Amino acid sequence: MKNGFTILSFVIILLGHQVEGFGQNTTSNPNDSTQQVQLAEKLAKAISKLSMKAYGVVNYYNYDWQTDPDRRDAVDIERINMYMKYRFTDKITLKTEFEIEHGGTGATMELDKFEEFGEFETEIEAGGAVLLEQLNITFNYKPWLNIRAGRLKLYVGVSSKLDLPVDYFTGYRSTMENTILPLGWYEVGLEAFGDIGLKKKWSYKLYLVNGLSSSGFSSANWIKRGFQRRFEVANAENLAVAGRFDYNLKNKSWVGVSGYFGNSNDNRPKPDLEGVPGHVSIVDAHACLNFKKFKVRSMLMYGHLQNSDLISEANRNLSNNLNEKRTPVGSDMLGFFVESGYDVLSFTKVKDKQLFVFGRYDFYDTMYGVEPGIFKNPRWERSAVTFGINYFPHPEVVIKSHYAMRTLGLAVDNKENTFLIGIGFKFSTRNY
Amino acid sequence: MKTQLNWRNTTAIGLGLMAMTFTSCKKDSTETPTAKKSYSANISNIGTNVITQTYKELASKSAILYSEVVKLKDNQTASNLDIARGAWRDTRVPWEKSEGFLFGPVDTKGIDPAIDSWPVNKIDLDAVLAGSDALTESFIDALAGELKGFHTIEYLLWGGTGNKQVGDFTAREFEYLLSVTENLKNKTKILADSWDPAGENFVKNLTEAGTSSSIYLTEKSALQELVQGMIGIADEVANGKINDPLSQQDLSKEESQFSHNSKNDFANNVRSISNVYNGKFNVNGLGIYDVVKESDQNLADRLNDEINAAITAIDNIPGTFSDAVFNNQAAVNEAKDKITVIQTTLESEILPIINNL
Repeated sequence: MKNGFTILSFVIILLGHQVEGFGQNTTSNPNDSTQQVQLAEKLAKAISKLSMKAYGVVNYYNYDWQTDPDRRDAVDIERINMYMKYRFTDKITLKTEFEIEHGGTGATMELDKFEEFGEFETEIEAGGAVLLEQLNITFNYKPWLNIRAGRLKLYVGVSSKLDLPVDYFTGYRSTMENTILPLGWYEVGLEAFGDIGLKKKWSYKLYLVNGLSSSGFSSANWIKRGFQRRFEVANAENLAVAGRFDYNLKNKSWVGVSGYFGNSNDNRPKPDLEGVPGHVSIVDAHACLNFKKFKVRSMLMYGHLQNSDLISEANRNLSNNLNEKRTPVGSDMLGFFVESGYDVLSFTKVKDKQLFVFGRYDFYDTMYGVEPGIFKNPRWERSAVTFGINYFPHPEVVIKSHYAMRTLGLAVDNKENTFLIGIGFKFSTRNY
Repeated sequence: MKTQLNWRNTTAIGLGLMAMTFTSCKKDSTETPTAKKSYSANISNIGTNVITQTYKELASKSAILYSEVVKLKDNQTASNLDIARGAWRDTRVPWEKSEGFLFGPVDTKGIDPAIDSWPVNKIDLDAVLAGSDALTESFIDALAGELKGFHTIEYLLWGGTGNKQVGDFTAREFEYLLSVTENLKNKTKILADSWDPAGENFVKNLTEAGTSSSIYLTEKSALQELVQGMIGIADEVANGKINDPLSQQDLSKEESQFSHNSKNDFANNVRSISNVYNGKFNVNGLGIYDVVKESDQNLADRLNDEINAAITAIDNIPGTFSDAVFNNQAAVNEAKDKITVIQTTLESEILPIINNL
């Protein structure tokens, strides 16, 4: 940042001299240049309060799925996330995050004169979404106590913390977590966070946020689709609490636990399950261990949904217009993964680039447990073996490829193989 | 110039003022909006005598299907299997004739996906049959849409290749068949009761359109809903039900593939358009036709000609639809094109008339 400040000051001063020379054609006064330096410093200080970072992913998918032979190969401009921060003071900071998914979206209305009746047509110009993921203000009180308020990110699980494409090995974020949890998971509420203990080895996050809506729960994705972002406003009849404790080790390694607990039935679009509690409980234990050239990550996650039979029944009767899945919901979920990667270029003389070879195993069952009278569909017990490479021509740019072999718990036609090649990047003005 | 008021001038001004007053009065009277013609009778007839009656027939045919399946389970003979299959075909008729108005409770109560999802998820169905859960009606009700309803019943009655024999049934299949048929009976009864004036009386929203209906605040909005429903099924039959298996040369995309009932399904879908349009089911009454003919008699009659031409084209497809998809593509295309003509007329000529009411 110091270099940036110096360059910026120099440019502003230079620009000031040129304008003055061009307009007045007079010799500059020493007092003027002092003022200009002061002005430049003020401007640079103001700009230094702003910072920006971004990351993005573009992938190509080649599918060979027995479960869906018609599935088309695809390219996906998966997302670009842009963060804009403004530091009001050293204690108060505004954070925003915009995400453009799948190339964004747009709708226009046009008059088609060549149609028989000169019809007005509403055109969807592009698929995707533009989302305001985060909008919050952080109040830094003490290293052990900070408060964040607004729409904020829930750090449950591993992928929430290893969110950047340079952080995770596979071409897309953890398939296990991405199947079960909303990724990213953003809610509106309050967060308390900080570092505690001897040498601040412990980090914690505690949340009070708006809850999920059980109308979106499904066989395939358990509570994931209960994340409310379909309507202009999210129902907040039910609130939820969440928390995370990590023990920080060397090399940005950590081990810890996280969890979520909250009711979901009063947040349904209509009050069709009033008085019936539908608490979602999720707990996980996780580890992210970085050695010099070797990385290991693992997580075990378990979840329980109260009254999943009554929720399944209510969901069956939802309107077509809601476009929900309406499939029966499991009472219990279980997920597990472990992955590790090694930088094979460390064996060579190449020191400015990295090539990780990795392997990963996922197991996840969104109907691990069901209430009596609900079919425990083996389709939703899934395991996946994935292997591939991550090549870093630059520490902030990654080229990825992987081959994932997923097996469903069905007796036949149960293989879903996916080949992927993609690119990812990140950058931050704070790095300069 | 000095102007003097004399009696002539005064009279002229007076007459002029009177003329202006008269003229403006006349103008006012021509601008007074005349009361719009009411189409309440048309909408009420469609709601009461077409939609509600179609659903009542669907519920009664479903109950017969269930009783025939009970008989088949109790007395497993080839003739009872034929009778049960016939009852299934009979039940399809009012259902397909209802697809021109897939709004209201069939939509808001999630009944359409619960009774008519396709294709059947055979792999998951095999998994259920291989399990040990008691296959009660409530257990079936809790399953996903692709494991219950018309096409699961069809799959169980005819088998995957369409030539299942009564001896091929397993005990679990009979248990499943009985419960899934009972579930269809229950769902269609809920649907019929929800429209019935003696039940939830959803039909009231149509009969009172433009007055006390909370859904259709104007008669025009009710008529638009009806025409949009007709457009929706014309689109679905032409561009989905017929075109998907044809263009992809893939029979797994064919609805009612096990029973080879597809042609009947398509024709009855077109009849659902006809029934709403002409306001008829078991009795004749006022329909959309009577609204259109006030603007354009030729157009009103032409749509009926197009409906008849489409039904004829469907009937003219030789043999089964499954066979024709490969061996008589011209005839299948002809039927598809005739239904597309209906859709085009509804979208580009009928709907604008309704929009301008």
